[in-house]
Amino acid sequence: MDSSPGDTGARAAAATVHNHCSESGGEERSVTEVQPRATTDLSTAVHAAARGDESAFGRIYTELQPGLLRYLRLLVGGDAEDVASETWLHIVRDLHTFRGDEAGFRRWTVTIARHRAMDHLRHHQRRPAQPVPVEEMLDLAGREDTAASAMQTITTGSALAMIAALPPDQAEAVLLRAVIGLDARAAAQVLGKRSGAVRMAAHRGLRRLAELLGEAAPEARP
Amino acid sequence: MSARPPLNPDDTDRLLDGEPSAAYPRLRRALAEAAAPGDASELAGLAAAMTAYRQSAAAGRGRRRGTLRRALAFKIAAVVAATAVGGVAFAASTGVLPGPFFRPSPPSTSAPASPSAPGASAAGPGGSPSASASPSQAAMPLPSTAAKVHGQCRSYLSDPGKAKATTNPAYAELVAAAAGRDLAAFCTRLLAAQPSPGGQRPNPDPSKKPEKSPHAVPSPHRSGDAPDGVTPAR
Repeated sequence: MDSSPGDTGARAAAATVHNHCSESGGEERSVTEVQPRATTDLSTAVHAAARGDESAFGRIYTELQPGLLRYLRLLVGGDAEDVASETWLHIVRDLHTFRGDEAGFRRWTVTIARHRAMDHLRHHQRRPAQPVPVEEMLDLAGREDTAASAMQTITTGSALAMIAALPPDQAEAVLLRAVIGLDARAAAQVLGKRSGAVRMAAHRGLRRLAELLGEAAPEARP
Repeated sequence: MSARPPLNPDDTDRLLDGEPSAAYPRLRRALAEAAAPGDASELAGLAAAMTAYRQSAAAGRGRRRGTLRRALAFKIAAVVAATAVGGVAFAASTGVLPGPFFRPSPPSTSAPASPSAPGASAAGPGGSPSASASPSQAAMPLPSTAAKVHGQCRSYLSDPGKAKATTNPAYAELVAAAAGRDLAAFCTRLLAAQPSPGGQRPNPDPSKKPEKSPHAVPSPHRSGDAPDGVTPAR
């Protein structure tokens, strides 16, 4: 999984295909609002930005900032905007030193963001509160007769809230994999953990999300 | 319930890697939404980031220019230093400058070592030209013209080659002082009037005198404690 835009696009496309195949017109309408990301390689823009191409930098920012911000909200809650700004200051300062492809750039930037977030938390001596109670998400668990409305209810905000409600290690693993677009190995490097541990955390997180969405039997329940 | 069996790790990897699958549509949809492109509020910092990028790029250009400037300045300084050192060495080797390894030029620094300084002059009879010399003159290794003339008279009178005296550069000052008069008579009168000006430099060998006179060397008859050209410890 080297190219997250491609993956994201593939996911969105898959969702679109699925909903086209489904029988609910409401689902189809809602899914069209999910635009696949640009699937062109970001490496070219990274190298151009390192040489001073402003528009290339703008493209990088537009591409990466949402994911960084969503990840940082998980780590520092309401201070995510400030930490994201610090992260970008760091990125623009050291951009000319970066060598690598798009996957490497995503890993590099999210590593900077994570370090900034850890510094922020150390400085403020606190952890962010859970933004959304997990029980709130349970309302999304759809029954058969409300499947269409459940599908419509899945927005970017609600999906992120569900992920944020997971245990922290699971939430971080899922976000790094699904939102930032890292593969398991790169996510493990960012987190300073073994790849297997991150894979398992992501797996548990996704299983929990499937339960919340009514697509998998609750694990410890009959 | 449309509940399926719990996800297995391979399902998770497929979902997170975005492989197409009809399974778990809601979960797939949720993951796609979570990674959806940013809305306006999430991109509100674009302008500030662009400003930071422009400033950093400008600062980077400045840094690179500064580095180039420093490198260039260093090279120029190195070339200048090398030229200066080489020039000094060249000048010293060609005798233009008093090099640290050359003695022939008349360095004022040898003055303290000169016994022709007032101390030595005071040893002679008073009223001599060198005794009246100022300290700076006393520091000069060259004897005054009067003393020179006096010494040259002594040499002349004892010189067997008197005939060539007028053309001998060793007697230049004497010839000039005599101004055409007979050198023997001039010197006889001079020595009679001033038996020993400064009491020094009765040089019996005038042929050596021009070579020795520029030196800050003591008269061997006086000091005798230091060989020619060697600084005596006082």
